[in-house]
Amino acid sequence: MKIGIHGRCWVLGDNIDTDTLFPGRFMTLSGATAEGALRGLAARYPELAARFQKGDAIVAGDNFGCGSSREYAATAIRDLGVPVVIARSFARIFYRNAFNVGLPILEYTGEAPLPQDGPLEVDLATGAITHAASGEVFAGTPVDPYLLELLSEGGLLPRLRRQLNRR
Amino acid sequence: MAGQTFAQRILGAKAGRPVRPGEVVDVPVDVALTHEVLGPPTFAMFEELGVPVWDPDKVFVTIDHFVPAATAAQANNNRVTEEIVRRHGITHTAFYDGPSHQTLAESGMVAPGMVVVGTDSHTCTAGALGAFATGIGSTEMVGVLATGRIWFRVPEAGLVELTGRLRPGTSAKDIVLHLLGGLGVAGCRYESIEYGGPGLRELPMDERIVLANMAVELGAKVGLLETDGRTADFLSSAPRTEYRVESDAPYIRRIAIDLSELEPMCAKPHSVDNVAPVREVAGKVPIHQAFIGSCTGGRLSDYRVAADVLEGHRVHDGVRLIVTPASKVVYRQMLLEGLVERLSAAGAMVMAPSCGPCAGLQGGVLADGENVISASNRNFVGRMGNPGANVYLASPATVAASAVTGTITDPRDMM
Repeated sequence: MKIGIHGRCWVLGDNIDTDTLFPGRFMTLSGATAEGALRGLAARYPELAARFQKGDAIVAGDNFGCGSSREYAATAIRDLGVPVVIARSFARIFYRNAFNVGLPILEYTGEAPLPQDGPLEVDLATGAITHAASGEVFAGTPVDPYLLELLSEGGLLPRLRRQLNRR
Repeated sequence: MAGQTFAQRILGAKAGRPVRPGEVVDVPVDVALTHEVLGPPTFAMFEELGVPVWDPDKVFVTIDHFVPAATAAQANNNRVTEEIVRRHGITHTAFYDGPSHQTLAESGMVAPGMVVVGTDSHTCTAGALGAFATGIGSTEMVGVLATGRIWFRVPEAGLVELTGRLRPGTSAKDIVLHLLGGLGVAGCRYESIEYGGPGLRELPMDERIVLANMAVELGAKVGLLETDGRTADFLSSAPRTEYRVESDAPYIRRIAIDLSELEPMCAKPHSVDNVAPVREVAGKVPIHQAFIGSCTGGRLSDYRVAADVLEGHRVHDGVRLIVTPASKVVYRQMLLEGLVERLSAAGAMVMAPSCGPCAGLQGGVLADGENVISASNRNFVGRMGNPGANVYLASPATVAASAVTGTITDPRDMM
């Protein structure tokens, strides 16, 4: 699965927790909105919150999405229009939630920082991140084929609906 | 073939073939846990699918956080949870019986080798019984409720080998805090943390449960323990499957701990890995509330040692000592053993079995600027209900000693 990043890459730090990505006070019984993520991120990254545009990607450090099991953290980023989150590593419940709600993510293993002047092409199957302008390739961890298939189906709920309709 | 980790053995048996760390397997679920906090939103999504629960006898639903309800909204939410259980014919519940992780362990539903998932990060507690148990998100639970299956990436595993015996004044909580100090809050991210050795087998089940329970604080997916006759006795009806560490298994990390060398430890605000020996913190922090309870610190052995520390003392005038047993089974045994009398005589408030003030939802929320010493599991900002309060984590013995002096205190000084 190949994903193009045509917008800006917003660079965040380590241990971006679920209270930053989706503060508990924005959760309601009726669900959550993408704006909750921007309001949460505004506390640490005001420029991102003010200037984020659909198609912009997120590049972060270690342990992205740590903390609570709330999957609003993943759905809100997806609904903002982030095509892919690239991080050094992800907290495990966020990692699962991302694939289950259809948000592409990739672990970046390269040494050099990723170029911020896109566009970039991200190949989840090989982990390769290619810089269009220079042709330079940056290495990431290939995503497991099982998870790629889950992503291509749009996540777990669309897969379930299809499976249940077939019965 | 070479030895395997517990995680490999359990997931391999479920998948019906040998599995390696890193590969993804699709496995059947033996127990699915949810509670009144995330159960209603999860079932709201599930009911949109219009299918029945895959196996209502394998679902365990609890009411344990909003207990007893502190507001009308909590009470209405609890009623919604009871209606869900009736609507779906779910047979196993623990309503108002104590934290789900303890009541599930007592329920007889869990056995070694099972796969257990729950919409709560401390679901890993069932690893103490030899079950591959972990927390998941709501969408994922919808999938489990519909199909009875879930995918897992077979985790790499680290081994913690315990030798020796804990000395008086130390407990399993100090083992975990010691590990957190060394490995950090993400030290075992994605991994299975597996405990074995003669030191583990000396520990009673009450204490072993703490090791599995706090696996998630180390970032781990599961915490898995060797099982033996004590595990079987605790489960009474379960088959005697014994899991022992295979020393040639592909462990990515091996940590040896001589339990006799441990001392009381404390996690300072606002991270579970901000750890120091109690000796270094002692006398420096005034305490306003002390809490002995939750799925981490509310079992019989916790109250026995707390009562021993409190014997002949009174809780300090400026301190509220709150006790919420981890289940009604624990509560009744406390009554039979005279523990309620002894704790009350020292000035403790012995309250209903529940999650208590651990999650900051009711029953002991803190005032601005207050310090609490707690036998629970997390101390990040706002955890116990007030972002302006400071949470120190320690063992039940350290909490009891600190409740008497009004400042963080090494329990060995009172024994």
